[in-house]
Formats: sequence, structure tokens, C-alpha cells
Amino acid sequence: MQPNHQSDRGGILVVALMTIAIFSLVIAALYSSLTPKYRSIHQGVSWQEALHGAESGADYGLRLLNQFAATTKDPDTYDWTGNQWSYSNASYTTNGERVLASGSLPALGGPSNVGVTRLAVDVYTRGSAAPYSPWFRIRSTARADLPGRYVSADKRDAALRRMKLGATTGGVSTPYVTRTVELLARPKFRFSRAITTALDMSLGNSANWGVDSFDSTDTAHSDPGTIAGGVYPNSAGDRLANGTIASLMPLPTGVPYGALIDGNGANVAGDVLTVGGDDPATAAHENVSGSGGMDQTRIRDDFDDEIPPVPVPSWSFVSANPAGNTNFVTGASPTTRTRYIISGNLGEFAVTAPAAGNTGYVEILINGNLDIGNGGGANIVIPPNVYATLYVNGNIDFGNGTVNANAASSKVASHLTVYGVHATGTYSASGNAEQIISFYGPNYDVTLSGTVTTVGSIVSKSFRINGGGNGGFHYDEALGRSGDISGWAVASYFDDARADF
Amino acid sequence: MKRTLTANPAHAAFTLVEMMVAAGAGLLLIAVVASALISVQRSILATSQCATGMNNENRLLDYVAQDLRRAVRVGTISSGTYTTARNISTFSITQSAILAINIPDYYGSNTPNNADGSTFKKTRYDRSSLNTLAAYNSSGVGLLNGSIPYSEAVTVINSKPVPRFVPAAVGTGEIQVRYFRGPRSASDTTVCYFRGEYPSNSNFANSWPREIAEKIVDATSTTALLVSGSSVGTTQGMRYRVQSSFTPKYRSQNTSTAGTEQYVEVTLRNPRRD
Repeated sequence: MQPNHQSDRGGILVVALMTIAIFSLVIAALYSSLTPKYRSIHQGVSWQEALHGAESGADYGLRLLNQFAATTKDPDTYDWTGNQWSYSNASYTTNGERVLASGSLPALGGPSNVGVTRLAVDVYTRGSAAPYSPWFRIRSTARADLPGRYVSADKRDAALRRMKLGATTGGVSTPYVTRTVELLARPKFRFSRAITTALDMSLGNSANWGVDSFDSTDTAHSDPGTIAGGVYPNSAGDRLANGTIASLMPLPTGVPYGALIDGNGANVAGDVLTVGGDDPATAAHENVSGSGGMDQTRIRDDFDDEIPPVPVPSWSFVSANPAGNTNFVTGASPTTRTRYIISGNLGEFAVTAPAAGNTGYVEILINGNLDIGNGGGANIVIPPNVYATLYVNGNIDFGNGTVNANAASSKVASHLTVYGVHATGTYSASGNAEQIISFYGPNYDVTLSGTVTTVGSIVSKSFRINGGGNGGFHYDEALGRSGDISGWAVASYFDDARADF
Repeated sequence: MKRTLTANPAHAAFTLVEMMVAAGAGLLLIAVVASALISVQRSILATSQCATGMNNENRLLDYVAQDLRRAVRVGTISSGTYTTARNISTFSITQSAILAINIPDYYGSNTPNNADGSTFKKTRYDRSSLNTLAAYNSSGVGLLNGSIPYSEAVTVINSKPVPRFVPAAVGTGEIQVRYFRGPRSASDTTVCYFRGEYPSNSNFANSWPREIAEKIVDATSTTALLVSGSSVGTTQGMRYRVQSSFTPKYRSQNTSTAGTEQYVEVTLRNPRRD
């Protein structure tokens, strides 16, 4: 009988199996220990992607507001419905919340299927005086898929990222994470600074010329004026120091620092802003030359704004021009204002005041130059109870005249708004001209010669004072709180990390 | 019958030499396997430590970046003294060197309450309150009803209109988030990073600071949390680099101890108020 030698070889198999088992256990331990930790990293990535989604939703809302502002003056008439927005509660429509239709929500896609799940806009607050301009609140929530429903490796990750790991859809596990971002958008008014230029700015070089501010709606910071509001105060103690000037002038290519505003030693009671140009390594402010009359702590180089040109209006209905193109009459409200189109140049003129107790509104498009000529009698008369808006499709010359500043005028800058709408234009005044005006002409070169006094605000391509004398520039801070809205700026950002998800 | 014993090779005994060789080979095999297992074990521990460290880094960076994004002031507290932080070179957060970030006092309450719809989790001015509460619906001007009164909602700082977040009579509108390092408790010396929320003018936290990373110090590694502020032009005071590093155990003590390093650059979204 021969022994079965095959049975002697079974030990090798056992050893092999045990070895495999040991290594399998090692690999399993490694896998179970490490996988959750690396999954946490993946979960963190999804959490970040959800933030990108939420911010993209907020950007969508802000961009829409700016698109509205480009075409519609009154923010309470923005076309929300036509852009797929509806009230979330139809009982509250005055300042209530609007939400974007689900089919229009931004979807970013990608492996984590990032998308905005809710985008809402409501009115957070309104200005305290007419027209009660709104501040909008934009609230955007986005989600991103998570790699699996497995718990995070560390409870601290769950506390931070607040993931919905147990979520299901139709019985299928669909874990996700959400982020919510809230923006407050404040209106940017066209005349929120004393002087704003797209390119160069050169201030008056006389000893007395300067920029400061006052508030025509505040009796403590203005002198008694007309029913339209107060005038620039005689007492220095009543004046304010918010006559901010700003230039968007770019630096030459390859030049990191250098002067972008020529201060000429002018006194500026307000911020002085440029886009770059100031070397942070030095105490001096290289972005402004001749800054001896400025508060050095208020010179900054972080200015960031846009001043887009205003197009030539296209009106379907206008009134017949008055005889001699003067004594223009007004309409009773901003929506029923009278409109006139002047073909050719317009000289000095007046607007006829409506009956006492009423307010009148008028808009005039001048397809030519606005040139009121020289001489002490050259006037533009805007009565205190009138709001006049001029669109000048040509050059502007106020000579040494009086613009909205004589005894019959409002003497308040918000009552005369002038838009320079030509592709290139000039704006000039000289001598002892006095102009109380808000002027917006991003394509216009403004040149003031002599002792010109300006009350209000100017936005232009360039701004230059030859001399200055005892004149000056007095910004009316009331302009920064009302008037035309040129766009919307982020006043606040908040990543709502505690919200119910 | 005479039986003849014949040698069956399969039943032959091992010679001493064979035994020695077999034993040697076996020992060598065991040594190799044991060494491999020890290496694998070390690798597991090192990999685990590395993964934990990376998670700690990610979480620390995510926390600080989230607060910086919504910050309205950024500063440091060293030896109890607060200093505004704009152009800071490198600030290492420790027990006595604290990063202080002021964020909007946005919520109805800062006392933790995780219940759905709690004031801890809702904005102070949620839409349903604005719609219905008399405080927001008593204006004679219809257009103003359903919104926060302007004087309560807006203030001007650095010539810019900005939200108050809370009425002036209620508070500053800011809370201060502080990041610091320290032992978990008097009885547990495990070193951790903490995030605490404080009223902006107080050293008494709204609630117990939350532990956001643990095991950040061991024999070979300390997880660092560093913040530096941009010194370049318009980004000065508006952009920060948050950096975290630790030393993985993959490297032996005799080689370089350079650690891993993660960083994130954050731009403040809000206008600064300092």
C-alpha cells in the first residue's frame, strides 16, 4: 500500500490562504481607515463648488439689476415678470420677494451637478425721501452632489459643511450640499461725487480755489434758499467735507505708479480717488500730484466704477417748441413731463413755472450746441418747482452766464440735470460764471476758465480749470442720495452658513 | 520472506544541511513578511496621519476663508491688544496670537439653537417678518411698508453707505470671530484650533468656542495656521493668504522635515469698515 503523499502538501495551501487573508485584512483596514478621510476631501470640494454656484446666482441677480438700470429709470418699474420672476407670496407685492422660475435658474453642471436651486430678490430698505429708491436683497442658494452618502471622517467637517448625507430622491440616495449667499445691492446714483472723470483731471491752481460739499436738504449744512432746498452756506462751519473727486485715468502701459490727478495745490475737502498709481512701499501718494491741499489720509487708489455714456433719446411724442425756444412749459409728473426737441443750437432760455403748489417736469433734447453766450444777462432759468433735464447732442458753452442760479431759479442742482450725449463734446464756462447743475457727459471735455463757481456735480471725460480765482466747486450731497440710478453696487455680502438647508 | 527496505525518496529524512537551509529560508521569509507588515503598518499610520492632517488643513482654511469673505474688519489680538491687520507679512495663529475677523451681526440670535427656523439660523430681517410685523409696516408712505426703515438699515462709513445689520440702539452690527490655538481643556491637553464668536466689544464669547481641528501637535509635526495680507496696491487690506502646513510621517527623522502646505487666497467681498 502506498501512502497518499498528496495530503502532506496541504499546508502550503493553508499558509497561502492565511497570507492572503492577512494581507486582505491589512488592505481592508487601510481602505476603511483612509477612504472616509479622502472622501472628506471630495466632500469639501463639492462644498466649495456649491459656493461657486451660489455666488453665480447672486451675480445673475446683480447683473439683471444693472441691465434694468441701463434701460429703465424707475427701479419700481423694472420688468421682472418679463424675465421669468414672480412673487413668492402674492399677498406682499410692494417690497415682497420675487423668485426666478426654476427653468431659468443658472445651472453650472459638472461632475457634481452644481446648480442654483433658489434665487430670490426683495426690497431690503428704501431711501428716506422721495423717490424712496430701493436697496435690493439678492439671496441665492445652490447645491452640489456629494460623492456618496457615507458619513464624514470627522464630525467637525459635518459641523462646517452641513451636508445632507441622508437625502433621497425616489428612494435613491442623493446626498448633496448647499450654500447660500446674500447680497445687498445699493443704487449707484450718477452724481455720487463732486467730480468724476474718465481721463485726466486738473484742478484750479489759485490759492482760494477748492472742492467741498454741503447738503441742500439739510438746514444745518446749507443756507436758506428756495422751496427747492438750501444753498451753499456762507459759514465755513456749516460746510461739509465730502467733495470727493475721482478719476478713471489709466496708467501708461508698463508704468506701475504715477500721477493720475493733477491737484495743483487745490484744497479738496473729500476723498481723492484713482485707479491704481500709488506705490504702497512709500508714504507719499504718487497717484496725485500737487496734493498739498488734500487730506493725505483720504487719497486712495482703489477707485472702481463705470461711467457709461447715455444714448441720444428717441422719443415718439414731443410737444411743439415754444416761440423763440424759451419759456418751455412743464408736465405735472415725471411720467407726464413735456418733451421738446430743438433742431439746431439753443441759447439762453427759461422754463415757465407751473402754478404754485405744483411741480413741473420737462425734458429737452438739443440736436446742436447749447450756447447761452456771454454777458451778465445770459441765463438759464429753472424755477424752484421745476425739474428740467436737458440732453445736449453737441457742445455746451455757458460763457460767463448764470445757470439755474439767478433769483428766479431753484438754485438747487438736482433741478437741472444736463446730459452730454454726443460722441465727442466740450463743456466750457468762463469769467464769473455761476452754475448750479448736475452734468453727466462721459465723452465731454470740461474746461472752466476764470472764477467759475460750480454747485452740484460733474461727470465728464476730462476736467480742467484754468486759474480758478475765488471760484470753487461745491458738491451737493443730496445728489448722492437720489436722482438717476446708473447701476447697482454690492453694499454687503454674506455667506449664510447657519441657514436651514 | 525476506523483506528488503528500499529508500523511498518521498519518505527520506532531511539532512542537516537541508534543515539549515530550510530554516534559514523560512526565517528569511518570516523576516521579509514581518518587515513588510511593519512597513505596511507604518505606512497606514503615516497615511492616516497625512489624511487627518490634510483634512485639518482643509477645514481650517475653509473656516477662515469663509469668515474673511464676509469680513468687514480684519485684525489680530496679541497679548490682549487688538491691531487692525491690512498689510501683514505673516501672522501665525497661536494661543496668544489671535486672528480676529469682524463679520456682520446678521442673525436674529447668536445663541446656538439648531432647531429648524430658530432665530440662530435666520436673518434678523427675514421676509416674513418684514411682511407682517408692525415695526416695518406702519409708515404713512405705502412704498416703505414691508421694508426696513432707512435710518435703521443704513449708515455711512468711510463715505460709503453700508448696512447697519442691526439698529444703532441694539449694537454695533458686527460680531468678532476669533481663531486661536490651545489645549482642549484644563484636564485634556490635546492641542486644538478653536473658532469663537464674540460680541464686537467683549471678551466673553457668545457661546463656547468651537473646536475645529484636533491632534495638531505631535512629536514630529505641528499644524500651523498662518495669515498674510497683500501689500500690493488696491488689494492691500482686501486680499489675504491663509496657509496651513504640517509634517507628514512619511519622512524619517533623518531626512528633510519640510511639511505639506496648502493655502487659499481670499478677497474680502464687503467694504472694510476700519
